[in-house]
Formats: sequence, structure tokens, C-alpha cells
Amino acid sequence: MLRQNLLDQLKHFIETVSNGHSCPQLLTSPNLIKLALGFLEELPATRDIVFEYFALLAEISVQLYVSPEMADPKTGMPVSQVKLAGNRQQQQRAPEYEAFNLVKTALQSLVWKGPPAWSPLIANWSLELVAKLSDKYTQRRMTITASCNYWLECSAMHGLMTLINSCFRKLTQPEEEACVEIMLNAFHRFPMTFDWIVARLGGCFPYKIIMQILQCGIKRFVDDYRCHLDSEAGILDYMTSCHEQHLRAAFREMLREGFAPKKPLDVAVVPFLLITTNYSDTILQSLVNVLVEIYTEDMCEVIVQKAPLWLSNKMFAGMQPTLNNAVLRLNERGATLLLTAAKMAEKYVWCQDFLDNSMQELEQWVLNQRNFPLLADLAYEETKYMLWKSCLSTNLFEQQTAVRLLLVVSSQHPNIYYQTISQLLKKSYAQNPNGIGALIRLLGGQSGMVNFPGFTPGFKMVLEDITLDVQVNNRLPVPPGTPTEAFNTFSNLNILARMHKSKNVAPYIKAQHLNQALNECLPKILQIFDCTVNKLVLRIDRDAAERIADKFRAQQSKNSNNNNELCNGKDYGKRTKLEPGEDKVDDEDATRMRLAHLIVDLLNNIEAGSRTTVLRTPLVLKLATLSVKYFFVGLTEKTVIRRAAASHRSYTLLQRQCSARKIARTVCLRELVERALFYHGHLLGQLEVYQLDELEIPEHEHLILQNLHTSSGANSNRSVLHSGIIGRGLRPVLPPSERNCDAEKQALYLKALNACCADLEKPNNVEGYSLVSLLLVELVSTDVMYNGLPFPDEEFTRVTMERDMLIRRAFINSPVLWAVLGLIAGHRPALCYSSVLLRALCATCLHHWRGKNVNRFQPTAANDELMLCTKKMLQLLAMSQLIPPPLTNLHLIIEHFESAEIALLLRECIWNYLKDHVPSPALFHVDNNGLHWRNTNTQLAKVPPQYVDPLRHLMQRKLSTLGPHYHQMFIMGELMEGDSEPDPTARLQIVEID
Amino acid sequence: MDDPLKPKPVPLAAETVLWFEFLLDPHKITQHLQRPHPEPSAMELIVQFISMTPNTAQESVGTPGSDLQNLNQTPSNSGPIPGVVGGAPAPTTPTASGGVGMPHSPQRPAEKGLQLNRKQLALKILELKVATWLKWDLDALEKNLPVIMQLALLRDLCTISYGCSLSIPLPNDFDARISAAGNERAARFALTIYHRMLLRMQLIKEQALKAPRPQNTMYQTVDQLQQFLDTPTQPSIEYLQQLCASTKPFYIFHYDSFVPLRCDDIGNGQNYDVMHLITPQELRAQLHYELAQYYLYTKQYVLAREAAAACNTNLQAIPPQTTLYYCHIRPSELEGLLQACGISAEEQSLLEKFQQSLLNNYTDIVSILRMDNRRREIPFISRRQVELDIEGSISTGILKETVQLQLQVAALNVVRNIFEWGSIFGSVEYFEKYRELDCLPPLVEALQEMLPHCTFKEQAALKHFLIDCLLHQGGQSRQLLQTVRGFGLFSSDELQDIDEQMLQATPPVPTNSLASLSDWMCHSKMSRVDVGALERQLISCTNANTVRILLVKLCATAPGKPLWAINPSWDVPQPLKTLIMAMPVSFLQDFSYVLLGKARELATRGNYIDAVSMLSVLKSENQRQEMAANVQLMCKLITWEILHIQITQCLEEWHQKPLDLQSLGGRCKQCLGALQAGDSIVPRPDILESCAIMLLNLTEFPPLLYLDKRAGPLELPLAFAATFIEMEKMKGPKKVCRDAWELMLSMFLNVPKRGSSGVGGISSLQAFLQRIRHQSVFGLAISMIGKVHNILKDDPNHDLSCEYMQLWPTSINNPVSYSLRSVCETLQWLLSEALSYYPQTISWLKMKGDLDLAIGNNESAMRCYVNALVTGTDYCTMPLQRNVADDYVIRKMIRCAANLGCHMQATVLCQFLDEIDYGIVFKNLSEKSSNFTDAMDAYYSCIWDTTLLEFIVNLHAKRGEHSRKLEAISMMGTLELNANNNEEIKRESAMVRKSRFLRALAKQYLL
Repeated sequence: MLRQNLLDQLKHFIETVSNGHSCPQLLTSPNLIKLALGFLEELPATRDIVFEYFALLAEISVQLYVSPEMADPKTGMPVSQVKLAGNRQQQQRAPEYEAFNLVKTALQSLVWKGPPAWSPLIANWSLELVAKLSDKYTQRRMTITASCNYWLECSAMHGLMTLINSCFRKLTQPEEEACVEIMLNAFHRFPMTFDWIVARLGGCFPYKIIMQILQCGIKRFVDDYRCHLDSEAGILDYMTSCHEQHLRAAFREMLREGFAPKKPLDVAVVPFLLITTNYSDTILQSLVNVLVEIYTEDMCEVIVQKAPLWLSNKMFAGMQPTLNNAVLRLNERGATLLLTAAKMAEKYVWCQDFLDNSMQELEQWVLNQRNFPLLADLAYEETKYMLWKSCLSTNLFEQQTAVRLLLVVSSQHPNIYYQTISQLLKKSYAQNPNGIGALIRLLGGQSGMVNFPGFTPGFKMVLEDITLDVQVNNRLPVPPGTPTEAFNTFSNLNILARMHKSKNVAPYIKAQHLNQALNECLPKILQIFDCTVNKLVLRIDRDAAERIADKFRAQQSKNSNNNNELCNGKDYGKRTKLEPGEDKVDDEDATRMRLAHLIVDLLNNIEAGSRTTVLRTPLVLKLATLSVKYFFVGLTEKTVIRRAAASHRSYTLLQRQCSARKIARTVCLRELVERALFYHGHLLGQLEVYQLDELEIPEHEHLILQNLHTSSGANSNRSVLHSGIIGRGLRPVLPPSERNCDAEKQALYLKALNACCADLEKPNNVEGYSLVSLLLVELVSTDVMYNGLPFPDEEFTRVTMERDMLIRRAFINSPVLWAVLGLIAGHRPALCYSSVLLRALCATCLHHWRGKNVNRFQPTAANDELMLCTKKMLQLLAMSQLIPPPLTNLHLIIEHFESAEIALLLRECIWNYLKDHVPSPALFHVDNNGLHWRNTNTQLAKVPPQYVDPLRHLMQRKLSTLGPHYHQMFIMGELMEGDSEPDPTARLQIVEID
Repeated sequence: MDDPLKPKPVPLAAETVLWFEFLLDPHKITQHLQRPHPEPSAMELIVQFISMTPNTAQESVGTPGSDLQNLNQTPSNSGPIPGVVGGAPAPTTPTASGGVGMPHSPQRPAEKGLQLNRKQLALKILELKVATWLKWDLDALEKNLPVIMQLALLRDLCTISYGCSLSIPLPNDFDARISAAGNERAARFALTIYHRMLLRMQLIKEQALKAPRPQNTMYQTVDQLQQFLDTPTQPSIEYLQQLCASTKPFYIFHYDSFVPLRCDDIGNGQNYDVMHLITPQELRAQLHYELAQYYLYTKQYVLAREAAAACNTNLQAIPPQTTLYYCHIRPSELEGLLQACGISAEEQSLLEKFQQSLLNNYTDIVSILRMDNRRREIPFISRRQVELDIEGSISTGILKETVQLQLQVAALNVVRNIFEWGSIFGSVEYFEKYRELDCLPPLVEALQEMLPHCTFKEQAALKHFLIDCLLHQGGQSRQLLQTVRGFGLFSSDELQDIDEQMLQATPPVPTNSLASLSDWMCHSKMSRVDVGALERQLISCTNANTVRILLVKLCATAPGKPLWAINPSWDVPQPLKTLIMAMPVSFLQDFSYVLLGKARELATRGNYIDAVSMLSVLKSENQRQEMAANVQLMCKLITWEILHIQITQCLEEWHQKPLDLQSLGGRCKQCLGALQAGDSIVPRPDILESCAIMLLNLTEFPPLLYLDKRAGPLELPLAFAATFIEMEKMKGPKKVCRDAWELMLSMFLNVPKRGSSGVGGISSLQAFLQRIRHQSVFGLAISMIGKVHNILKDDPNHDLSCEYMQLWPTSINNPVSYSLRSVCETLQWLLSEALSYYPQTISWLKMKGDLDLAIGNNESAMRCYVNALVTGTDYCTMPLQRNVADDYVIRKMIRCAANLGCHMQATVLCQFLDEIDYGIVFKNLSEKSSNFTDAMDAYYSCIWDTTLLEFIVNLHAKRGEHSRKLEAISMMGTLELNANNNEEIKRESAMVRKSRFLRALAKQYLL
């Protein structure tokens, strides 16, 4: 019964189907489909027909899909769904269109739930069907993606694909193989239209498919090297989007074979792969990725060895130019590739060809302002670091390539340019001096680009970094001795700046521009300098304070003879404990010092503060102050040579500023003098006065008692006679031998002053020296009263004695004052302005000599302070031409006189002379060259006898010692003038005859 | 009188002999003198004897009992203290001289004869005897006896010798007969001594007169002394010279010539037979010596020299071993004298040669100094003086020598100074001063001469010096270093250190590095790469000639595209582009295009010189090619392009003045002239605008006036130029040309006018302002915008002030429609722009301060003000002038400081006002400082107004801050601030404090 029924149904089915060709509506009736599905279960014999029917259904659906031809040709997306949703006809035919869905659902459930044998069957059928349909209805060639999009919109195709997919999951290993076989067979048959299916389905067993595709490609390639591999490439390209790992694995596998060819086919592997890359960027990318991953030095050898084999392939031989551009198409690892090539370039010409070609192309593209994938690669963070590293390479090719790449990317990304400059500046080129070449070329920029970024922001960037570095101390612990980034940067900037000076060395950077750029950065440089130097200055001060404290303590214990050994011992103990820390500090300071030297060198090299640059006043002030601070810091350098070198640096610096700007000179000189007198006097032999700390006041001493000790009143702080503190004994006085200024440092200091004062363009300009002179008056003299030039009546010195003694005391405290006066004495008439100081010295000496008279039996020691002071004062007067000859020789003989006589001489010859001849510039004659000079040889300038005779008479009484001087001072000149006098020997003869 | 320091009388030693004992025992004197150390000494005896016998004519009143007192005192009287001797001559009262002794010598004196009493005579004899014991050594006498005593001795000598009382000085017409008591020989001796003393006294005249005067008794003696000293010396000289010339034998006293009186025996006078005869040589030597001294004293140096020589020869003539009785010349003294006269037999010292050379126009000075470098005898300071003197005399033209001499002397001094460790006169400027001369060789030469003679310690000094030299000599240091190495002074460590330091000075030479390559390395042999390299070179080269060569080379490679398209970024301005494109395809086309494109590229990179040179080459190339009619046109266009580039360069490098501004201005005028003349071809608008702005910056206004205003971008420059010209015409604070004002104002409209003119909005204004360079143009623009700001802000507290301000209208129609914000921003920008070109313009600094203050940025405002003040006074070297800081600015600064919480600073600033506004002062002082840079007591040293200090003292007292109060009080007590000081001092002290305060501010705000 059932059977009959079945047969009837079958008959009906066959009829319907055979007639149905003309009328799709009939075929797609759901009843019929159900019937067919029923057969599938009940009549296995009809399976073929049923499947045929299903195929028919699918075809109808496809036809329906294709017919309106409403697909967008580019994307493959049918326009219908979107735009023509309301199309009536479409709606009408919807059941037909959807008919295959029923089949699909049914078959799918069969696959899922039915016996496993269904799967291969259905899979094979579906594949066949899909292949057939695809081949039949593909009107024109589309890319794989487009095909996929196009076909998958079709419900039948989509259903079939889903089916195949479901089946594949159920397959066993051998079945799978078979399926793949079928698929590939299909692919062979319809290589043009089947590719999208392979690509689409390949995802199910990607590796296998990929491998097979490759194998199949290679076979075709071996057969005919001119063959087109679009499909293969297409499939691979498509699959790569999801299955790059498998592709890579496949490549890896193939390359392994390719590099070690066993089969004849293997020889073609490399050429084949390379050819394939021409078809697709993604494949290329993958291949490169693989290559870069597995690349080793050995492999390179292999490549070189095998290359002739590959080259025998004609296609490959001809494709080199295209290969050369390959790198431009890389999204990643492009830079790595190029650098790898560059590393080998020295060895292999082909690498150079490759490099040169690639780079040339690259630069051309940049000039044309075209965008390309490699740019993205270059802009990667990692690539940047890699390139920076390569810039430091010793391999010139590598370095060059890195620089060129950086230049290329900089044209589009200025920030990378700045970062690169900043980075390269921070590196040390002590080991590889070549490295600086990269920096220089980079600074040269990419020629031909109109809007290539300038390098100034790069400098600013690095300086900003360093400022932070210097300000926030040592963020990371660094092993001692390693050059810091700040150090490197400045040393590199220095090299650059020095190179520009020697013109011919660096054609890439215009000296002027570099200079300008660095000068623009001056505020930043100064900030760093400020930080560095100020820390060093603090260090000096601290050291000095400690040293004085030690010295004072020692002296005091010597004075009071009650050494507290215990206390000392404790002190030393502390010392040793502190040492490691101090070492670190020392080390830091040494680094800082080196940095300071470098910065000053740089400032000199870029001629900071010269007349040609426009500077704001605060900057001028800052530069000037820092220069002076640096000078004093330089004085604390360890060796003579370094001290001298540091000083010379600061001279150049000082001189440039001071001759450019008056205000700079003012500041420099003031700072120099102030610091020498008040802050860093200890460097220049200042008498050290230790400030007792309050805590040492004995506790039992009540405040009221202390108050009794110190007289109160307006002038209590002005008393000179502080030789000690009541209750604490005399002020410890250092032995006189230590009172001298260290000669070397003194000389350095004087040169610094001279550098500020000297005007190279107007050599006889004494403005600077006069300024020093006035400064000394301001700083040494106690107040503004009596600071005029004239010498008053000697009587009047009583009024000024107190301030005179304070001034004298200043000279005792700071011996360097003498030297400063000595310097300005040589530049007449500058010393005139210090008249008040000379007056004070003269007055105090005079008084002291007079005072000695009381105690006349006490002999005057040759090196007595008073005698030295008198001598120096006389020398100063002589040097500055404030007193004329023969008084100028007074300093030579003064020590032969007794105190009363000295007092007399000082008053009669010196004081009175100066009183009548006011030390003022008016004394001097200015010649055409602007030189101030007093011609003391002329008759006019002869000293009136009242100033000389006292000396002459005194000398006459000491002829036995002063005979020669007498002759030289008085007689020689006289006789020379009255030249007519006869030979004395003639007279002698007459006497003889008598 | 009760001086605790005065030594108390010491009890007499046992053996001390009292003076009267000698009167009693005539032998006592001989015995006494023969002792090894007689007490009292011979000199003391003389003094005592003389003080016992004052002038015979003298009248003095002795107090009763003074004799006794005298007896007690005199022995202790060890020195010539006349005050004590004062009461002595009690026995010599007139009555006594008349009555007591009458010890007249048997030889009857003439009526004027010796009218002495016995005691006087006895004492005189004793006195002369002692003097004879001392051999009449005038030196010794002079040294130990007061002048008055010497005169007395001399008088006594004469008196006794002539046998009659004489007064010193001897009268002019002195012709005393020798009385019976006298003796001719003795008289001659005495006269000789007299004349010698007369001359000698001249030498100590001053001193003698100043010597402490005897209090009362010796009044007359002093007068006598004066007379004696004033006696003319010529007769004495003549006398002594005669004496020298005469051959008459000369006798001197023997100790036994004088016979002391005995109490019992009247005696028969002196024993003049016992006298020494001395050789004339001895006499002459002594006399010549004295004469020489006298001549020296009176500056008759020639005579002195003769006398000294005579003295010496005479002394030499005396046979050695002879005992000299009369001549007391010590060899050292003689030598001194001879040396003083310059006739010493000793070899001339270096110093002497040196002095000689100075007098002889510096002959041989170099060799002397060279010698001295080794011997180091001449004081260094003298050498330095000579160096400077040579410089002076060469400079004034007195000395006809080359600078070479100066250089050599200086070099030798520098070398000498090496060993003057720490001399304060060392030459520190040698290298700078003589940097244009070849200053190193003389130095090295001098050094090499020195080197073998250096001690170890000196080598250290030498090292320091060499280091210094090396560091000085930038370029030549290598060579010097080689020389120095040759000296072998330095250890290897030191050499390394030096090398390290020198490294800094030498330019680095990059070898084998990228920087030394002219292009990228290209080893590839492929032709494509070659072509690529050529193209790259074409792109990067900066030289027209290279371009030409490369173009030829490239042409040969049969390129696929036109050569001018090699670099797409080459671009050519429009009129030229059409011209070039119209050319036939040729070398010239490529060449022109490439050069123009490259020039433009170079100009944008700031390489103006190469750009201009390229265009110049192109211009001449075009002229050479003689290409039809377009040559003229082309050249003209290129010239304008050149001008354009040069204007850009000039504006960019304004302060370096790269070009001849005059000619540039001329060319700008020409260029604008083309527009004016209505030529068929006019320059590009860009170029026209640049020209106009350039002329504005060159302050050449008239040519701008005649231009067509309609040309859009020219509008602003023209309006500015017109304003300037009107300002010149008006010469006064009159409102002028409103054109510029209106134009400027329109830029700040909230809603820019549409289409009214080609100019619109802030951006075009900025574009114009950006290219302003001249100070006055800046000033004008700033004042204009400043005025707009003032009107719009309408807040007199925050008014800006500047020059030119009064030129502009005082009101604006409908101010609401203008944007104050953009005015502020533009002004801020313009000020910083202007200050970046002229950072020392005080009025702008102040204005910026005003603006900052108006915005509320107090700190930056203060910075600007302080900057202005510091700049205006050259860091406080010049007094603060009114144009730098007037009351207006100071008040604003006070406001700033107060706003910043620095009330003390504000207080100090109040003193800067013309009239201190105590209201503000007290208000500020009572505020508590809220800024760590400010404190009440930090600025006491900057206050000069005493009222202010008083207030502070009071304030501290109120607050109970004792120590601060004391400090303030001590400030008030300084002499400088005394209200009674004269104006100058007051001004000075205020000035000092002002600058001190300003410097403090500068350190706080500017550093």
C-alpha cells in the first residue's frame, strides 16, 4: 500500500520534475520538495534523482538570483535587497527563491542527525553542484572577495556552502582527504570560477588547502613559468585574512624544502613563492614575515649558494625590478628587511642593488607625495627604535639605510624627525665616532622637499628632556663613570658646532643655520647650565664651610691647648661612616663638572652672547652671572691643567659677552668682584673668619652679662677694634704665611677680570678697568662719604681714620684686592677712581709708622704686614703713574729706613704730592690712540723738589746702603741731561798732580 | 703729666761716675775714658759738660737749692733731655763769673779775651778733651749730640783755640786775631772744624730745626742755631777748598793738648805743642768727603762727583797701615758715596744698566732684560713700568721704534713674571694685546733661554705658564705643544690631560663616516640606480653650474619624463611658469624651470645666497641665449624674483644686515615704479607687498605715497607711510592721519566688514605686522593698538602708555562692535615680536608690563618693569633717569609688588617716587608679607628715608621685636643717612640704595 503510494508519488514527482523545466513554480512547490525529501528517506534508490532535483532547485534559485543582474559589479553585493525591497515581482517570486532553503534545512538535519555516511555524500554532491553552478553563472571575472560576497548573497549558494561546511565537520580523516581531492579537482576544472569556493571552504582545513593550492600552483609554474597564478594567489590572499598562521606555516614548510631541494620540484619553490608575492601584498607580507622569522646568517649562505639554481628560471630572472619595489608594499617588517639587506650589502652586490633600487623608489614616491604601506611600517614605534639603533651601527650601509628611512618617514611625520634628532643626540659617540655621521646627515634633511621640518624643535626637545633630567636628580641609579645623556647630548652638540666652524667638514648643515638654531635654544641651554652650576656652587660653599670649621677648630685647640681628643676621635669616626655617601656625591659632582665644561664649550662654539645675536636683558644677565659662577667653579678643579682649561673657557665666554654688551660687562665685573670678596674669597686666599655658632656660647653666661659686654648704640656695629669676642678670647689668627693669595688662582682670577675689561676692538679703552675701580670703591669703602678723589690735608685723616682702617682691614682679609688694584694700575688712569682706597692705605700706614716711633727699639721685621702693605701701596702708586720718578723707586728702598723716617717720607713725598696732584684722569695725557699716559721724562713732569728732597736727604745719610739707588734715582738723570760735563777723571788727574 | 708709661728713675749703678768728680780729679777723665765701657760714655760726658757751661752771656735764674737737685739728677740724665738740664747753670750767675774764681789764664786775653770762670773753663777743657779723645769724629758727634750741643762744642773749641770768646756763627767779616791764650795751629784746626760743621749742618738743617726745642733756657741758643744754619756756605766751601789746595802743614789736637785744670794750680793754659801733624792727603780726603756730601746735598752733582773722586784718590794715596787721626771715612760709606756719584770701581749692576738704558731711549733694553731674566735683579715692577712707558712713548710718537720692541719687552716680562710667583703686576693681557702680532716666537725664544737655568721649583712655575700658553694659542697650539714636549717638563699623565683639553679646541674631522660623503653610497651598477643618483644629485645640489652639468648628463639617459618634472615639488611662480612652458622643449626650458624651482626651495629653507646666485646665473644664461622677444620680459621677472628673495633674507636676518640696504631700497622703488608706470607686466602682488613693507622698514616713505591704494595688500603699508610723513610735517603732538587708524580699527571689528576692501581680519594684519622690522614702525603699530586697547578697556587704572600715543583719536564710535580680546592678544603678540627684535626698548617693556598688569599677570608685569629699569640703567651703573622710571611706572610697580604680597618691596619702591606717599608706605608696612621673597628686615639696607626707618623702628617696638628694632636703629645711625649731610652725599647714598634694591629685584625676577 505504502509502496504503491510511494510509486505514485514517485511517478508524480518524476513527471512534475521533467515538466517542471518550463515552469519553475511547479518545481518549487513545497509539496514537491517534501515529497522529494521523503524519498530520500524511504527510497534510497531515488537518491540520485532526488539530488538531481535538488540541484535543479538550486539552479532555479541561482537563476533567479542572477537574472535581475542587480548586483553591484564591484562589491558583488546585490542591490536588490536594499533598493528594490518593495518590488512586487520579487515578492512574488520569493517562494521560488526560498525553495532551496527547505532542502538545505532538511539535508542539514540529515547531516547532523543521520548516519555519518551522509556527510561525504552530501558534501561531494554539494561541491559538484556549487562548482557547476558557479561556473555556469559567473558572467565575468571577479576577485575572490567580490565573488564570495556575490554568491553568498544567493540563498541557494549560501545554503550549499553551509551544507558543505556542516558536512566537513562530520568527515573523518580519509573522507576529508577525498573531499579535498574533489575540491581541488573541481578547482582544476574551473580554475577561474571555483577559486572563491576554495577560498571560502579552505577555512575548514586551511593548512591542507593552502598547502595543496601552493603545490598545485608550483606544478603549474613548473610546467609553464609564464602561467598566471591569479586564482591561487587569490585564494591564498583571501585565506590569509583569517588563516595567516597556516599560510605562514605552509611557507615555512615550503621554504624548508626550497632551501634544501630534494625533489626536482623543490628547485622551483623559491622562484614560485616570489612570483606569487607579485600577485598579492598580503602574501608578500606573510612571506616576508616568515622569512624574517626564520632568517639566520646560515640561511643567507644557503641563499647565496642556491641562488644560481633559482636564477635558471627565466621568469624569475626577469622579475627582479618588480621585486625591488616589493618592500614598498610591506605593511610591517619592511624596515627590518631593508636593514637586513643593508647589513649584507657590503658582501653581496645584489643586496646593494636591491637596497639602492628600493631606496630610490622610496624617495621618489616621497617626492611625489604618494602614500604607501611602508610609511606606516616606518612610523611604528618599534621600527623607530630599530632604526635608531641602526643609526648607531658601525656598518655604513646599515647606518645609511636607517638614516634614509628616517628621513623618508620624517617628511610625513615631523615628530619622528624631532624624536630622532633628540635620540641621536643623546647617544654617546665616544665608541663609534662614525655614529655622528648619521646625525649630521639627518640634520641635513631630505633635499628637494619644500616643507621638510626644521631641526630646531629637535634640539629643543632634547634640551627639554635633559632639563628635566638635570633638575630631577638621578632618576635611575647609574654606575659611576658612565656618561649621562646630558653629557652625551652636549658633547654631540659641541661636535656639531665645532664642525661648522671648520667649514668644509659638513656640507649638509649650513653653519649659519645650526648656529642660529642653537642660539635659539640658548634659554634652554642656560637653564641646564644654571642647574648644573648652581649645584656645584652650593658644593663649593659647603666644602669651604667645612674646611674653615675644621681649620678653625684645629687652630682654636692649638690656641687654648686643650685638645679634646675624644671629640676629635668622634669626629673622625663620623667621617669614615659618611664616606661612601660622599663618594657618590663626589662622583655626581665630577659628572656635573664635566657637563658644565661641555656646556661652556658649546656656548663658546656657538658664540653665545655675541653682538650679532639679539638677546633679552634677562638672558644677558643670566648668561653673565652663570659665566662668572662657572669661573669660580672651575677654580675648584683638581689639576692645574684642568683649572687652567676651565678658566680659559670662561675667559672666552666672558670676553665675548663683555665686548658685545655694556650691561653684560657690568654684571660680569660686579659678580666677579663681589664673589671674590664675599662669597668665594676662600678660593683666592681670603683670611678665613669662622662664624662661631650660637650654640657654643657657654650656658652659664646670662643674656644680661652678654649685653653688658657689647656696647649698644648706633655705632656699636662699626667699631674696628674687633680683635676678639669678650669671654671667648682673641680671634684665632692664621699664620701670616697663609695670608697670601694662591698665585696660580690669583693669576687666573686676574685674567678673568681682564677678559671682562679688555676691549679687543679698542685696545686702549679703559672703561672696564675704571668700572672695576669704581666697584672696588663701592664694595670696599664703608659708605658713600669721603669717597672723592682728592687727598685732603693730612690732618683730616683723623676724621676718616676709622673707615680707613676698615678699608685696610679689607685688604688684609682679601689679599686678592691687591692684585686687582695691580691689574688696574697698569691701565691708567683707572686706578685714580680707587683714590679713596689708596688714601686709606696711605693714611693707615702713615699712622702706624708713626705709632712705631714710640717703640723705636722694636725692630721692623722685613716681612712685617705693615712694611709689605706700605711697599705694595708704593708700587701701586708707581705703577699707575700717580707718583712720578724718582718717587717710583721708593718701594725699593723703603725698607732701609726707620719707622720715623718712613712716616716722614710717606707724608712729605707721597701724601703731600698726592694732595697737590689729585689722582685724577686729568693728570694723564691722551694720545691719538686713546692711550692714557703720563710722560714723566719731560721737564714739565719733574717733581718739585719739596716732594723729593726729604727722600734725597734721608738717602744721603744712608749712602753706604743706598748709594747705587741714590745715583740711579737722582744723579744719573741729572747728569744725562747736563751732558756737557767733562770727564771726571780729568779732574782726578789734577788732584793727583797737586 | 702723670704718665704711667714714663720710666721711673732707676737707682744708680755703683760704678757710675758723677760729672763733678772729673772737675775734682784731673786724671780721673783719662782713667775713665780708658775703661772698656765707661759709664757715662764719652758722648754723655760731653753733653753734661756742655750743659754745665751754657753760653757765657747767658743769664738765667736758678732757683735756690736747684744745685743740690741738679747734683742728684744729672747722673741719671742719660740723654740729651734739655728740660732736665735746665736748672743746671746755677754757678754761672753773673756774680759768680765775676767773683768766685777769676781763673783767668795767665795769657792775658784781650779785652774780649776769655772771660770765663774757672769752673766754666775747666768744664770746657774737659769737654774738648773728651772730644779729642773721640778724635773729633764729626759723624759720631753728630749722631749722638743734639745740634745745640754740637754748636756749643764748636763754640767752645773756637773759644779755647782762639783764646777769646767768640759767638757762633762767626760774623761774616771774621778775622779774629788769635789771642795769647790761643794758638795758630789750634785756631786753624778749629776753623776747619767750624767750616766743616757749617757745611754738615746744612745737611741736617731741617731736622735740626724740627728737633724738640729746649723749653726755656736755651732760647737764645736756638736763635743762634738758626743764625748758624743760615750762614752762607760759600765762604766755607772756598775755605775748605783752599785748605785742600794749600800745602801748609796741618796739625790736629792731641789728647794731651788739653790740660785739665787743677784745683791748686792755675796752670799755664793748653799744651799746644803736643799736636799731630797729619798728611795733606788725609786732610784732603776728609775735606773732599765733606764737600762731596755737601755738593750732593745741594744737587751740585758734578762737583760732588769730582770731590768724591778726589777724596778717593787722596785716600788711596795714603799708605795702607797708616793710622788716621783726622780722617774718619769708613770704607763702606766711601763706597756708598762713590756709588752714589756713579764712579764706583764696582761693576755696573744690571739695575744700573737698566736705568741707564731708560735714559738713553731704551738702547740695549732687550739684552738687559734678557740678562735679567736669568739674574732677576731688576724689580719686576720697574720692568713692567718700562714696558708701559715704551708703549706710551711709541704711541705718542716720542719714541721712534716699532711695536716689535714693545712686543719683545712684553714677552721678556711675561717670561720673567713666571718666576715672580704671585706678583700683582703680572701681565695678564699679553696674548690678547698682541694677538695680531706674532706673539709666540719671542716668548718661546725667551723661554728656551731660561730653561736650562731653572731650578726644580721654578720648573713647576714654568709648567703653569706653558699650560696657560697652550690654552691661549688656539691654532698654533699643536706646534707649541711639540716644542713643549721637547722640554720634557711634563709627565705623561699631564700630557694626556693637556691633550684632552686641547681636543676641545681642535675641530673634529669625521673620517669614513656618512657625513664625509657627498651623496649616499651607491655601489649598484645598474643604470637605473645611476640615473636615480643623478636625479638625486640634481635635487640636492645648490649650485647652478652643477645643475647644468647634471641636466646634460641626465638628458643623455633618454628620460621618460621632462627633466623639470623630476622633483614634483619644484614650483615656479605664475607669470614665469607660463613663459617657460611656452618655450620649446629644450635645455633652456629645463634649466630655467629647475633653477627657478630650486631657488624657491632654497629660499624657503633659508639658503638665500645660493638661491640668489642661481637666479643670477639663470638671468645671464637667458640673456646669452637671446631668445626672441621674451628675453627682456624673462629677465625682468627674474630680477623681481631675486629682489623678492633678498627682501625675505633681509627681513629674516634683519640684525645681521646681510645686504646693502640702500641699493635694496632703490630696487624696491624701481619695482614699485613698474606698477606705477602702468607697464604691461607688473610684478606679482607678493613681490609688490614685500617691496612696500621693505621700504617701510627702511623708513623711505615718500615713494609709497604715490602708489595705488586699491591694490589690496598694499593698503596697510601705505597708510603707515602716510602717517609717518604727516608726523614729520606736523612735528608736534597733533592728531594725524586717520587712515591708518581707521584701517587698523577695522581689523578688530567683531564682524569683519565684508568686501569693503581686500584686507580683512586679524590674520592679514598679523601677516603685515610680522614683517615689520624698523623700530619706529613697530612703535607706531604698538601705540595704535595700545590706544585702541585703552579706549576699549576704558579703565584709567589699567591704561597703557607709550610714545606716539597722543597721535590717535581719543574715542571710537560704537566701541561695542570691537573685540577687546583680539586687541589684547594682538598687542601681546606684537609686543613680544617687537621685543624679540629690540629687546632693550624700555618703553615697550614698560608697556608690556602695563598690559600684563591689566591682564592681572602681576609677576610677569613686575618682570617687565624690572627689566625696563635694569636695562635703562645698564644694570645700575647709570643713575635712574626720569625717562626710565617716572612716577607712573613706579606706582604701577608698587601696585604689582603689593599684589604679589611683597609689601616691603612696595614700601621700598615708594621711596623712588618724587614725593614719598606716606599713606601707601604705612599701609604697606602694616601689611604682612605673604611672599617668601619678601620680608620686613630684608630690605633695610635699601631704605634711605629716615622717616620710613623711624616708622619701622616704631613698628618693631610695638610688636616687641627687639633685635629687629635694633637693626633698624643701627641702619638709621649710619653716617650716610644723617640728615645734616650735604645734598651730594644724600643723593649718593640714595643712589647706592636704589641700585642695591634694583639689583635685588633683578636677581629675584630676572634670573
